[in-house]
Amino acid sequence: MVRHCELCKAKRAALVRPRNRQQVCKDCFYTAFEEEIHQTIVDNKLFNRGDRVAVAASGGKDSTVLAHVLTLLNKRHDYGLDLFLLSIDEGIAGYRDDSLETVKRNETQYGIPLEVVSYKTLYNWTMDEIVKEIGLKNNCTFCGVFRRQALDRGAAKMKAVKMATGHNADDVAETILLNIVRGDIARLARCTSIITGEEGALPRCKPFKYTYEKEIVMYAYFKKLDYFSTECTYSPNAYRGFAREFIKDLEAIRPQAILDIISSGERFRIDSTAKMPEQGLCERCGYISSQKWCKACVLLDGLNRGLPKLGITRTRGKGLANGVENASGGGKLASKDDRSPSKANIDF
Amino acid sequence: MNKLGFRLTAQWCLLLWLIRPRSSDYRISFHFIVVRSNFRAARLGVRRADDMHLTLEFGGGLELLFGSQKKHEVEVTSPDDLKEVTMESLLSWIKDNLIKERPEMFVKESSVRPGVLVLINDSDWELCGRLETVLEENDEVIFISTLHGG
Ligand SMILES: [Zn+2]
Ligand SMILES: [Zn+2]
Repeated sequence: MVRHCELCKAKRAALVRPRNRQQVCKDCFYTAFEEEIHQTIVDNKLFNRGDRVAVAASGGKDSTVLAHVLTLLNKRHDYGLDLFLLSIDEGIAGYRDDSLETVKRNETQYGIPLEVVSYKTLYNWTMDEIVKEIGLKNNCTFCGVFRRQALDRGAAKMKAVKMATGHNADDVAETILLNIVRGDIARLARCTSIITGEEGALPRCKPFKYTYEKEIVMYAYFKKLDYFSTECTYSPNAYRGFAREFIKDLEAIRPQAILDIISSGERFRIDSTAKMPEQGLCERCGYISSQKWCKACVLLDGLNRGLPKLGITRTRGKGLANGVENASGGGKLASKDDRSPSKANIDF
Repeated sequence: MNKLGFRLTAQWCLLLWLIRPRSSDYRISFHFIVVRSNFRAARLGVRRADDMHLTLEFGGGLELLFGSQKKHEVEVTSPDDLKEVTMESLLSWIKDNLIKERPEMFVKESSVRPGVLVLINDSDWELCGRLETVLEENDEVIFISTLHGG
């Protein structure tokens, strides 16, 4: 009952490719997987020769495979990229410590330098300390907001011109669905683009935008890549929402559905009269923000003043900025120093 | 084995002891019952002739549901005492005998949870008939979660 590879007709098939149901052997799979990513990079002009590119590395499967494939393609196709790994140390004992060990091993395995940026140096708070303050509710909000900014700051410090992230096709399809369900037009328009943040922030690109999660995991498994898959201590069940569940159920019935959702997302035409939030700069730290203060500064301000709930409540439009103003106006601890661009906590 | 499981097993044993056949086939039927109620045959040191040896491996975070142990050498009996052990019966055996916590993270209905990859002897199970695949002695089955981390 041995099935042969549909491409080379010689070797034993090792997997069924979700995009086209093709049965392929390991070697043909590696070639197809790597060259499709190369095509994505070339077709979308993700990089220019000489670019210094930060590879966002968490030690997880996606970023580990990304680091592997980018170093490989950089050599094979002579992109002339100056790659380095960028990791964030959230300060979660026992979880991030271990995954950072994985990234450190990747540093030697792929021969590209590693830069670690910690919440502690950036914000003067570790996630362990934040959780002690706010408990287990909303801690992921803090972590997500802080991580996004920390990556940008780390990349800027290292003089990167671009950042590559490991977001895969399943992730993109999930985000599209979520933004449709939430009616978030601005994000829906943004989440399908393969390069984001060109206006102001460091451009981020997703070389895995059309790559199935299944293939990333299969690739990592067959190639025996070293990755870390333990759940975060503070959100053991957070990795799967209803949208992800739905995507995976769809995939089980018809794998092509994932690429179809992405294709539909790309085809959305946003009415030009739709009001988009304007991007400005945070008055406090200079990070891009559609509000007076960026989300990280609002959260940080709340933490430092012992009002950690600040900025957590769902607000729309101007609500957030107003909330901040009211809170700092009424808070006894608010001083002039709090409002001036802080050098103490954010130091890049 | 959790407390409830132990209590149920204990209750079963007691019940079965009470209704045990008072004849020479007592040992055989008692053995049969023990295997069928939550005990792992291997743990009792009993190996039935039709037990099948398999190597199971859990990765990508799934190992956390199995006491953080990745590799498991097991003797599997088909739950319905059929001659064949299929992937479907292996999954229900794992659910009843091996998994330590949160089975809903591993199985959904009669199959694996969507997003869990399965390899039989290093090949995608989609190549060989998924749940209907008939397993053979010393086969190696690997389950990898795609659901953890990025
Ligand atoms: Zn082949
Ligand atoms: Zn700010």
